[in-house]
Amino acid sequence: MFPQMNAPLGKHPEHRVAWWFMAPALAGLTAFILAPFLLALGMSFTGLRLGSPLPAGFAGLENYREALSDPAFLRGVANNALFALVVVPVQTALGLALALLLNQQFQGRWLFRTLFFMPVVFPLSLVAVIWIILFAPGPDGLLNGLLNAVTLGAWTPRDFLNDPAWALPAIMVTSIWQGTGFQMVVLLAGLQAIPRSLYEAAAVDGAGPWRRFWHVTLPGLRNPLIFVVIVTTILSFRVFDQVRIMTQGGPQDASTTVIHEVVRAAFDRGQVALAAAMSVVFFVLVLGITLLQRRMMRQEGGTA
Amino acid sequence: MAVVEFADIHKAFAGQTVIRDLDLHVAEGEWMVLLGPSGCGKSTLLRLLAGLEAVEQGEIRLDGRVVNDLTPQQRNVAMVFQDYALYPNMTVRENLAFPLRMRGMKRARREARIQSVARTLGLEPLLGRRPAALSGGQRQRVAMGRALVRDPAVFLMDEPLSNLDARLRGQIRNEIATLRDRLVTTTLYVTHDQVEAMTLGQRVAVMAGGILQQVDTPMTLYDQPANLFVARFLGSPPMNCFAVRLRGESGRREWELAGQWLPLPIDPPEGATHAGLRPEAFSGPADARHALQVVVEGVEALGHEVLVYFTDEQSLEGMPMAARLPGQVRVAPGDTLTLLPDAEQLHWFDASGRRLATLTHPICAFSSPPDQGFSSDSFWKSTHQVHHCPWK
Repeated sequence: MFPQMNAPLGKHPEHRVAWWFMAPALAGLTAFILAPFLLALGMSFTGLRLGSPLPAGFAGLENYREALSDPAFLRGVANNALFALVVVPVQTALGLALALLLNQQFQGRWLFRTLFFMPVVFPLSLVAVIWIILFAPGPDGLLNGLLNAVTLGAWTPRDFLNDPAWALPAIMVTSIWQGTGFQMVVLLAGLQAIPRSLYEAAAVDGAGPWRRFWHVTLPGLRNPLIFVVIVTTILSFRVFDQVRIMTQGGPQDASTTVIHEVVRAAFDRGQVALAAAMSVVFFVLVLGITLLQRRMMRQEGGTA
Repeated sequence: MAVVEFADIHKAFAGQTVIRDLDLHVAEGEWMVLLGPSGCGKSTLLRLLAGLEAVEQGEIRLDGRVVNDLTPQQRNVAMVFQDYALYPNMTVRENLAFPLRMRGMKRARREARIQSVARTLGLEPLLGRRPAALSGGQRQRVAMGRALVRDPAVFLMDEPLSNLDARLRGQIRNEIATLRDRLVTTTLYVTHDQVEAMTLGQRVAVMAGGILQQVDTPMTLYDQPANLFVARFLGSPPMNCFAVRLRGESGRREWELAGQWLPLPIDPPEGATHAGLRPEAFSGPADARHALQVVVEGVEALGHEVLVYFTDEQSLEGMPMAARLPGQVRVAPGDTLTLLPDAEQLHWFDASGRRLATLTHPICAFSSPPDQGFSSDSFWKSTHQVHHCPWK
């Protein structure tokens, strides 16, 4: 850091220039993040409803009380938590495994890199539609048919997306398939930044492949791993598109998520104020988790 | 401690030959320096011994046991890397402990070893620090420590001083020399720095273009270089080498230097086409009858000595000729200077660049007959065999 950067902004002539440089980004952040959030915060204390002729009066904490006693919203929070608990570790482990594989020298490596990364580039709506086809019910459904074939007929075809036990796992599978490529690319870049001589030193020092992974690869990937875990956690709390398109939160709210409930409240039922309150609760939850995660990661690694 | 043998080693990367038909024997407890310009294959040779590169042809033996197919873990060699390769997430103590932990040494014994090595290398105050908080010299010491803490069959050092500044390099070189005399372990030390080679090597193996040029004690390499490459690679400034021009009969023979004819009191060996003269074989300013008159082209006054450069049309690759004179000599470029070359100190080489024995030097025999004709261009990439001096 430049030493003069520690002085408060505005004291130095260069700082005025700095403000100009920051202005476009600040304008965007204000218009699309800060302002909507403050609006939502304000709305959450009113009785605002879409299309209602009545004036929106001050409602105090009424919306929060309603949100926290809404079983669908609570189910959404629980589903999101479960989703994150499964998707973050599985997706990261898969991404790491793929990155390790694709870090080897072999013919056609670029092809596999491209293939594994492609789902990241696909629009989520497209991914959802593809997986609806894969999860199609009945013995002719692709996944049902495959499972039937590999189990030699022992598999009973089921309607994954309409089964309360299978709807959320189906969405998890879709999300993992879509998101692993991102982890893979970040971790691959991290792998390539680890000096080869460290592996050689470890080998000469007597470490076999598994210990080289444990003592050289994992510590070397610390920062990319932290980045990937935090980003995936936030993304798994934001999951919406797949739910909206594949299950609409059903059956019986089995696969609903917080964002899905927010959208349902605001746009299906017109309860804008309630949706705003849900968003604020959600924001606090995600912020808390992210801060907690960062602190845990920092302690674990010491200086970083 | 172990005997290291390379037998008929041949190594290529993607069709590019890096090491050609190499045989080398390192005795038990010996410090062998591998010296050569970059790309000569010296580091590759070290990595072959460590097991970091696969041996495609030939055999590597440790104490008579062929280790070609052993992994690095199985070979019990310790290596100091050029970039030190310290584990960045571990403290100095953990770095030193790592090779011991990997070999399953118990904690108490481990701790004793670490303490003893830390004391030897002055690392005690640094044990709790991470590599990022160390200076270049300290990192170098930790890298040495991580090799010393074990009891390996062979130490391998791959240009361990090349990332240090000149002052620190000299200091640590001295420390390594002390260490070398204290612990007797077979060591292969790779460097492109001839000062390190001369000061640290009990024997030095000079390599060029993947071929071993000569293996001998540092002083023998300097006094009796096996060929023009070794002659010009060791010494700074390097030996003045030039095409020989002679006239007159035996007894009244003359040789030409810088366009002037000088008496030659000795008989050159049969077949000599090139000769070399070290800069210190000149004395001057001289007042003798047969002195050489040169126009000074460049001067490097170093305090304890003055290096004077002049031109000889016949000099190999058009290199300027250098003379090393006492520090009190005052000359400037453009001055005319009288020098007295000592013809007794001439080194003679044949058309293929090999050393020819003279009556004034001990006779050196060659292991193989001269091959293709010498041209300065083909020579530097060339294919010369090692020659063995039989009295060794």
